[in-house]
Amino acid sequence: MKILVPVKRVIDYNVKPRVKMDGTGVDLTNVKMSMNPFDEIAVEEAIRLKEKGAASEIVLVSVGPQKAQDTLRTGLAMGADRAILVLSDQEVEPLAVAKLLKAVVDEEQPGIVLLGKQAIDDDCNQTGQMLAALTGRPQGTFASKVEIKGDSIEVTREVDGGLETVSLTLPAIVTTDLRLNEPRYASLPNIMKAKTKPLAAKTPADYRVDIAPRLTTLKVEEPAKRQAGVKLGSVDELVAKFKDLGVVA
Amino acid sequence: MTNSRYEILFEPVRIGPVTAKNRFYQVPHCNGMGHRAPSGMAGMRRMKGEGGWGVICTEVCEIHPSADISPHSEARLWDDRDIPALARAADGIHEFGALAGVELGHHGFRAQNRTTREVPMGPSAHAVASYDPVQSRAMDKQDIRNLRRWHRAAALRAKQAGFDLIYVYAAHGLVTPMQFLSRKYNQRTDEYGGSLENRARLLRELIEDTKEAVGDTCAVPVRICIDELIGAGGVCASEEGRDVIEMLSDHADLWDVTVGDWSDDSLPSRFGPEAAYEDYVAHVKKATGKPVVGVGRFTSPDTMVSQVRRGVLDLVGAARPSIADPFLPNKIRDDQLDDIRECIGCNICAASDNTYTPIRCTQNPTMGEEWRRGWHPEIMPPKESEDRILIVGAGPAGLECAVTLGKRGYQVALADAREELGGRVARESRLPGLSEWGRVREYRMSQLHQLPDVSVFLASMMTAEDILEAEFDRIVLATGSKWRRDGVGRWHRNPVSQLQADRIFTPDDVMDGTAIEGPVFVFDDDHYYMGGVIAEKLRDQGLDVTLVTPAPLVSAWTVNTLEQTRIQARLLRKGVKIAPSRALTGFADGVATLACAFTGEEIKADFTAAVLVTSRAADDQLYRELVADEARLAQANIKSVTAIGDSLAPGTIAQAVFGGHRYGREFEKPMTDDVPFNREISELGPWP
Repeated sequence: MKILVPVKRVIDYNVKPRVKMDGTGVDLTNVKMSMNPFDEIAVEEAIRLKEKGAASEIVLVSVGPQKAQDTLRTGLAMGADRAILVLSDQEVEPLAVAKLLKAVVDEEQPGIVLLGKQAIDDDCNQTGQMLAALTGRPQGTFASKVEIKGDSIEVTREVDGGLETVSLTLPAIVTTDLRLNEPRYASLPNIMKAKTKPLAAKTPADYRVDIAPRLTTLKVEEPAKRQAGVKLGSVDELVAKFKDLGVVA
Repeated sequence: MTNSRYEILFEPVRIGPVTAKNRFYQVPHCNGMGHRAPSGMAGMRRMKGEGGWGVICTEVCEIHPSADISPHSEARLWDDRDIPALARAADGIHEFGALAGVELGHHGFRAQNRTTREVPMGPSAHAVASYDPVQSRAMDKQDIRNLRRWHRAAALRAKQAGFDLIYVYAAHGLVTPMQFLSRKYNQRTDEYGGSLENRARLLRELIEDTKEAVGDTCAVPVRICIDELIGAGGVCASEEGRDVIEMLSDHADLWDVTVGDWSDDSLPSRFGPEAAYEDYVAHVKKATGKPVVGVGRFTSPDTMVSQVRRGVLDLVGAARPSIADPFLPNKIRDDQLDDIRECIGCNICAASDNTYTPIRCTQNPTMGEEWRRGWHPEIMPPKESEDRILIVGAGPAGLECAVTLGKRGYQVALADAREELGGRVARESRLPGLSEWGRVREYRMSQLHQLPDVSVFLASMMTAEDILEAEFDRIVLATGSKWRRDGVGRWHRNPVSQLQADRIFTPDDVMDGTAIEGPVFVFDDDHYYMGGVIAEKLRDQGLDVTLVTPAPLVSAWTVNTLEQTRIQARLLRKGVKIAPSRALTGFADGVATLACAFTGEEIKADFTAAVLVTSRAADDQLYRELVADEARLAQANIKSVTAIGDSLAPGTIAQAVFGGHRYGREFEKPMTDDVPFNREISELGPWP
């Protein structure tokens, strides 16, 4: 069985993001980028399934600029077999990504598509779900455990009330949550070896997908800085303060 | 001011006739450069000015040949010819709007006068504190008048040199007015001895003299010891300490508060936290309305604000935090808190002065190099080529090298075999008392996160093949070192033959968590911190521990870091047995043979295991393999292969950081025979 793992190049989770002076977005110039942490977990899970013999090939795909090659190489170094880069210098929204992934799914026919639940830059949490709808495949999102059982995949999901286990008939879409696994490191020797693994470059036109944005960003601003608190002497003072703030009548 | 929370630290403070632009006060501290390397000293003080300090002081400044503390090299104002050197320091300090302070001092009976051959003098006749075969004489009234005259003359010279604050120094037990103040040293029966008022008389007179000479335009701070930490026999904060301050409150323009001796004031992180002496310092503001400055190894801006808000201090004093980061005030002002290099309290800086060498700092490799190498702690020169550099090993040397090259704009790959960065710093900071040393790693990691051209690879053991195929232009090996198992150190220069391998352990084994059965002995021929720390750790685990060392003292070199007495005391109190002046000559079948360091006579003792802390062997196999085949290097287009840090030669963490930094700055420079730094040559004197 083939596993397709989409990965996204995002701002590194250690970096403190700064908003551009003109408020149009986050400043990404000269900022450290790396693979979305939830996607690392997806790659790791795919590799573990292959190590167990449940999968035969792991294919990575990324939609992004030329530099997303580095992200794909990291995944290849971890143990994936080949990669596809769909080149785009402009930001691509989840719906467009989902459409591109559908086209890739049609070509590659993977048994499982394993995605990170969301990207840490936009926090959208949409691509996996949209892909499931576009392909008509069952979805198991926020996975903290996956197990292949014959023609199905059992996914334990982290939901608000606790854990829910669903069984999906393959082929299926799964999105990963934090507790699914701890990804291995992509060592430098493996990064070097990964240079010989196939990496195909494509464009959205190749897949006949229109990636023009459907959303306009109106404004981006930093959260308000936390102000110093005020120490009060008594409960009466506290109530008076609440009244001033209009919090109580 | 980007963060209003810290605004209070940037308020100006009036000190007598002058005003400091903010509350950041670099208190007097030694630096090993002093009068022998005046531009080095001036360059270092100037850098603190650039970093935003409001007040910057010199080290102690010797005022007269009757109190010469050579070979320590401190500032000096013996006569007018010393003024230009001090003026250079004052000018440097003024350049960015800081006030310049000079700590005039006369070392009384603590001065051995090794160079001047004068007879030392003090309140009463005492042997000098060191083991020099020298004793002092008791000062008579003429001596006291002389001292007052010399102090006044030095103050006038200091004013001429441009200083804004001219100290009277009465602390640490090191200087004459403090020696008069203390009942431990002052057994006089005249009006300068006996009651507190009498013992404080000389101090009062010196303050009055100084104010009279320079007090119109200069502030006169008093550095006072609020508590000698010797109990009832000395000055105590709640009694005489307070009383002295109350008595002299109107006289001083500022109280610079210290506690105990230098080893107390400069408390190492192994023995105490930030703000350790707050309870003593708090007494001072109750006794005076004048501004108060004190220290506490403050690195946290929140702690600093708290000290001011709660009325403990008016000015935040710092020596070591200003050494680790001269730009501490500016970084707080600009909300760059993650970029602050925090002091780790290792006292390598103090060790520099104690070994008569220019100051250095584990966290700040540019400390002491501002003038002589032109190094700036925050500014690196831009890259000179598009060379891509691979650094193998992410310990202190590798980390510092990666950060330095990254800041210059180079493309760097930093690879480490382990799954965490930090090498020996990560491992050693988990030993008892050394957790603040982990800041060496944390600071560099925070910098790496901001350098997109530096890629970090963990779990990446590199072979020579891997390196040759990795397509880098320059290779740096920072692969560290391992503690030796064969007993070779300073006592044994060849492997000890009678060592039963399966009973021998090293600090690496202890840090790996290897189980060790007691009774165990630690053979320490390293003489710095490791032997003592390992003994402490094993004892904490409940083992029967003996520390054997050829030296007469435990961790003998830590005399220089001001830790030795505390280390030995701690081990003794924990029940570690000490066997000094003994060398290990064999250990097999549960029996250790220990020879007397003087006579060679051997005794035998039963032990189950031994931890050898003798010396380290550089991990240089990879380096040797690479440089052995020049043809292969040429084929791989590798321009250079360089070993740095412990893998070149094992040393301190400070030396590893320095090596990494130096490579980062200088690797493009060709090798020359020139002296690699600026130096000042003594002017020849008159010749008949």
